[in-house]
Amino acid sequence: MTTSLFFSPATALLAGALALLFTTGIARKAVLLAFPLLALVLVWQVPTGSVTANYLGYALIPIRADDLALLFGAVFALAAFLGTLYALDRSSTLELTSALVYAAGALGVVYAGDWITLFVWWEVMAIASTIIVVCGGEKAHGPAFRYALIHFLGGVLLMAGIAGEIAMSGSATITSLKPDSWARWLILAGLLVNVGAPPFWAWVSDAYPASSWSGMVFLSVFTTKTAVYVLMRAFPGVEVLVWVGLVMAIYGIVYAALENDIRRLLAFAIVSQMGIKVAGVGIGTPLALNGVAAHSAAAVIYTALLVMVAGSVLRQTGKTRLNELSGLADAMPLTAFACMIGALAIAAFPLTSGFVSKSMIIEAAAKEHLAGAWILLMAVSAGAVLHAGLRLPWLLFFGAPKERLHVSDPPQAMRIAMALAAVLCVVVGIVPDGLYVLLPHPVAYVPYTASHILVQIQLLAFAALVVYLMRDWLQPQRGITLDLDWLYRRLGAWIARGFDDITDRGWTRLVSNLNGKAARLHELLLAYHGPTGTFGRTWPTGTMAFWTTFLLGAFLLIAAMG
Amino acid sequence: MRDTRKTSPTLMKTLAGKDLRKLGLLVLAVLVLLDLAVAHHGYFGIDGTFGFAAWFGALSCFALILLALAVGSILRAPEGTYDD
Repeated sequence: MTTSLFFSPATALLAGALALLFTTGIARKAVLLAFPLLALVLVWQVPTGSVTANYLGYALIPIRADDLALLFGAVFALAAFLGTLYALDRSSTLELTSALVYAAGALGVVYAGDWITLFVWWEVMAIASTIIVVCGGEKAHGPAFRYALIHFLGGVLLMAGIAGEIAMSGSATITSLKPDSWARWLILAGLLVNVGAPPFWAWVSDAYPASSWSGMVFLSVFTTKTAVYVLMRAFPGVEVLVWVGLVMAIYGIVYAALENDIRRLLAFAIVSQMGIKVAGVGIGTPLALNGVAAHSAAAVIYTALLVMVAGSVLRQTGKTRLNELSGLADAMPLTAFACMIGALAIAAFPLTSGFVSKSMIIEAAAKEHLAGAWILLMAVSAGAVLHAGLRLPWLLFFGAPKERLHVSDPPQAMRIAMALAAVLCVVVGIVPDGLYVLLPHPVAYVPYTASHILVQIQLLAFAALVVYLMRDWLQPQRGITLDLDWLYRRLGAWIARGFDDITDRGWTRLVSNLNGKAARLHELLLAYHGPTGTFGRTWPTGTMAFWTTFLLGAFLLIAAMG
Repeated sequence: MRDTRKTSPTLMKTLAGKDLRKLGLLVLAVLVLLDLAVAHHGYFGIDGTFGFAAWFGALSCFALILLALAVGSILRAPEGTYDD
């Protein structure tokens, strides 16, 4: 109870988003850089503890600060700064305002101590990130629409779960849960949608590459990482997460190995990396959770770096397909160098941030004697060479140039952002203690033993050898690989169209049937009551008198007989 | 336009050179032989054996490539598949 909402780092980013709307030129650039930096400073000023408030009878905890929140808060603020620095030349105010709101949402989730506060920030993130996708241009409208649908579906699952959890337990506080009720399964499902888990993982590779060259940097940082952060808070040690994570990790590698578009390739690599973290949450030991926290922090930076590299290539060449790009190292040396650093980090090569973080998760699986999980984690660790770890930099920068492109490295701000991110990847790799002191549990892990180093280098070197030997099979081909989104983009559309046809035909038949009946009724009425009908026509007076006489006679006859 | 800069060798051409290939093989051999000098304390038995990470890295990468090729042979589709 020693802090106030005014000093929330999320508020600083919201203020930045507001300021961005009223500034231009140098002032706009200053806002873009200053407010994320202010948020980064404020992260360190939020004291450990919580701020509580009552709203509609619920005890809310808008801010709950601890070591884990500090780590994620700092990394998100730093990533927001790198992103805005990289996007300093971006003219779309809508995209950049949304990016700051999106980052504010992520920080809001990090500090949320209750499910209701979390949900509000969660939806802020969903809306802001959808706008960022939309800012990718006309081609992004379809992916943005699908992205919004999936994330609102995830939001509905989460909200339903939260409502059920509050109704059953009477508390909205975020604590470690076991999925032992339908409400908790719904919360878990809502979180898994955002982390990129099956069956909805295709939103990552559908929406992210549709965004602008700068938009994907922000997108790659926040949604999936906040989801894994909340998983760490709420569902550590839930075994099903181990297998969900491993499926994600393998899927990401397989699809990235087949991918031709560099930004889609990175999207698959993101899902693969997220899978390793989700598996780590499932293992759930202090070492594993430390590994997940460290790997998330490292991945935010090296993924952002690789996405910046892809954005630079897109901005400078206008292309993203590997079959149209290669040999760019001569034209874009700094971008190529940044890509190599990012590649080494994502492949967890010693002296990079990936090595000092990913190895903790693998070690945790080994220590728990989870043989299956350990084997698969080692395999996907080697498999990083099939996506951004080797295939991407090799094909993009070091192949023979396909055509002479008069391009150069991107503008200064983008170069500085990439250089900073690359330096961070290496510094964290060389001095991991700076990261380890921020981890949620005490760290007794020593990454730099001769055995660890040798095992990792052997693993990667021999995996690289296989890639080299099989390079002809790994050449980029035009096309896409059908994914689970086929279910709602094709099958769902067919079913909807079929249903539409059936209801359309049914309606037509019903209407024509009713029309026919109405017409027959009309004819009938016309026949009897129309101008020439029996009841409608004018009868002569004589006929009437005749029938009256006849009826009276008949009446008298019957009366007489009775 | 095709690249006409014949005199500027790319890194790939350099790496594809025979000498560098020999050097690569030498590095791989040294990496495996280093297992003789470094003690591994495995958790499952097999992970502490000579050259484990080397063959495991190669084998798992090979398996993942085969899986990718199998998936690709079934699920690859033209770029405009969803355009309509």
